[in-house]
Amino acid sequence: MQKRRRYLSSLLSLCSLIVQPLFSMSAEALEMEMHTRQLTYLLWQQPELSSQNPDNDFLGLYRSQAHAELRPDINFIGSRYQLMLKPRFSYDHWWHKSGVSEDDDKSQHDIYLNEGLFQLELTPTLFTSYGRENLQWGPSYLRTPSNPFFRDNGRDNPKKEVEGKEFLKFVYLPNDWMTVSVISHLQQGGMRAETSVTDTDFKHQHALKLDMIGADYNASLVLSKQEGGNETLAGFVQATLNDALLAYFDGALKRGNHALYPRLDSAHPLGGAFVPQYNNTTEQRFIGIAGASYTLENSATLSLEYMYNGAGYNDTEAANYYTLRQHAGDNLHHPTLGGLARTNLGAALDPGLALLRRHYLLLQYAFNEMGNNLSYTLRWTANLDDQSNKLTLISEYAYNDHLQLFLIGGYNQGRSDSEFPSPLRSSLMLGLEYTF
Amino acid sequence: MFKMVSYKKLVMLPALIVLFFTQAHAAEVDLKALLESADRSRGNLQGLFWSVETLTQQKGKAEQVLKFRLLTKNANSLVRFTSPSRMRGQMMLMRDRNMWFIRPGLRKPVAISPRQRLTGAASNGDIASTNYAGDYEAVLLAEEDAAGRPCYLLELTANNKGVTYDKIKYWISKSDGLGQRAEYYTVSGKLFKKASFEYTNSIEIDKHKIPFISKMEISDTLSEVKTTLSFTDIVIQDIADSNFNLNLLVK
Repeated sequence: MQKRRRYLSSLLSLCSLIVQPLFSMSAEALEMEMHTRQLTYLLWQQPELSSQNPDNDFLGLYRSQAHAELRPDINFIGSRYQLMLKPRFSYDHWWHKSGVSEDDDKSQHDIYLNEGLFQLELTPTLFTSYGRENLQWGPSYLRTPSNPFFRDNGRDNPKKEVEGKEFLKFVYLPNDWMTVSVISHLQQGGMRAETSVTDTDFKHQHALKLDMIGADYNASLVLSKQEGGNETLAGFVQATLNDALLAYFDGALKRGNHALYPRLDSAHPLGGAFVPQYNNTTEQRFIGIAGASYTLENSATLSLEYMYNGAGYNDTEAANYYTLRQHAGDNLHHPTLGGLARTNLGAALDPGLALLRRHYLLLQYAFNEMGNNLSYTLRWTANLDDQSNKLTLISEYAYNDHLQLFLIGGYNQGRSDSEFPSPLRSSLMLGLEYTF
Repeated sequence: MFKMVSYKKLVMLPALIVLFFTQAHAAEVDLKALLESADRSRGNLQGLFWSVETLTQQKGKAEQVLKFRLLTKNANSLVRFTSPSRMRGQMMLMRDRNMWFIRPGLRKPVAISPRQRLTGAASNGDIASTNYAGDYEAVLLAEEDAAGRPCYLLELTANNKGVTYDKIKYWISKSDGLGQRAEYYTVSGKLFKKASFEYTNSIEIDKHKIPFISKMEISDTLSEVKTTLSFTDIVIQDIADSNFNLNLLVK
């Protein structure tokens, strides 16, 4: 909380320092835009009682959640600068937790700045910006391997915002078809109460991004390096093959990565641990997504993606992963091994990989005509290694000009010791979005 | 005598050849110039801010109204939706045939195709600036009236795969070079859309006042959906390229 206050006050002082003289220079050119949305939803979810979360004792997931959030998006636009602020005010209530703390209701309110950015035009071809932002790019749905800063690309649930991180950026436009960006990730996210983290493991990361655009293609090359040594050569390319067909590729070659891999050790009381065995090494792993999307005559879009996740676990590593997870789950309440078990379960829940295994397929049918009242996306994602899969429905209905109803449902199919059904078997979000 | 005939032939033959090719080329250039003139009055300019309102009517369904501000510069366009309220803050960026849809809260832009419908019978490609002179090969089919005015009827065939329509029949007014009517065909030659245009707006270019598009009515021949696009608040202004840069769009 203190960190957040410190951050907010430093950002506001920085903004006032820069904005004040600019306002006085060109006050007549200042415009303010504000869009405010009120989001309210109910979420029901079915936790899977697998070795990851035996009897829901490890994660303590609630079955139901009510969420209300006010999302103002404020933009101050001057002739050479722009200040964007996205403060968020939310209230949550959770109930019906299965497991040991049954019926232990919980409520929480939160105020945080999800994104806040100041962008300045230094010259007509050179721009700089500083602040928190959710920096996303690339054409793929499943994941974005070329983005070294965010694993979550926000496509799973469009009503849940991806939390911003702190960046310093310089963007140079040498001509109309090329853009050079230098991006530094200076602080991790974590302003939300539920995701607030300590700075123990954060490392600065820097990237050089080169974007090119032609009449019917666009491409990007991204070179990035994390403090300590992990390096990535990444990029994407997207081509408009005809008026209905887009083809794309997004990939990354990583040298060293900080993800955790299972290491069996007979001397370890739980049979082993998860270790960052390739961190700062010269071990190279390739991750790539090849995809295409075709717009049908009715304006709906059909998309198909294949992902090769070279950083994911092979069959042996996956078997070791589930062995360690099972041992940890079995010892969760052990008087002396409980702590170690929690460490291993925490690592198993998020080992730092884009996805757990190697081969994935995504098929999506989306009808998102802009002026239409009804829009929906039906998405099927399959893990081809363990045969688990995930079915997602995202639908929105505009009741009138201001009010939208939405329903987002997910069902994960597969064995308990497969990727998608853990930690949730299913979820259903039903809500209203009111735009002022 | 022989020398005289030979001399005349030597002089006349190249002149005739030059005259023949000049005439043929002139016809080709005229069609291109005609299309360029028609394109200019439909927004293919160095920089333009304008407001667009779309009204979609379909049998048995309520009318849909969509409003947006459009920034156009050559083949680049940026659409900022202003109405209905639930769409405020949403944007569509078109860089030639590269198109993205941007929603607040969902920072990753969604790549979309020119075919994807904007609303009703209007595709994304319909609001991008028209560049028929560059994207199509024209043939003069006939001279006939359209909207009560004598017109050249041109058949336009796409010269690249990236365009929204493969074949277009386009009626251009003889007197002022303005597109009056259009019919859009699929590769197989099936008619699937019709459009008509009005030009009650005017703009000034190089101190010359030229008529400018004010209304475009598009109807889908298969679904009987009709969409009317009305263009107002036209401002000609140089727009910096950075306005069309995806990296710099603060969302």
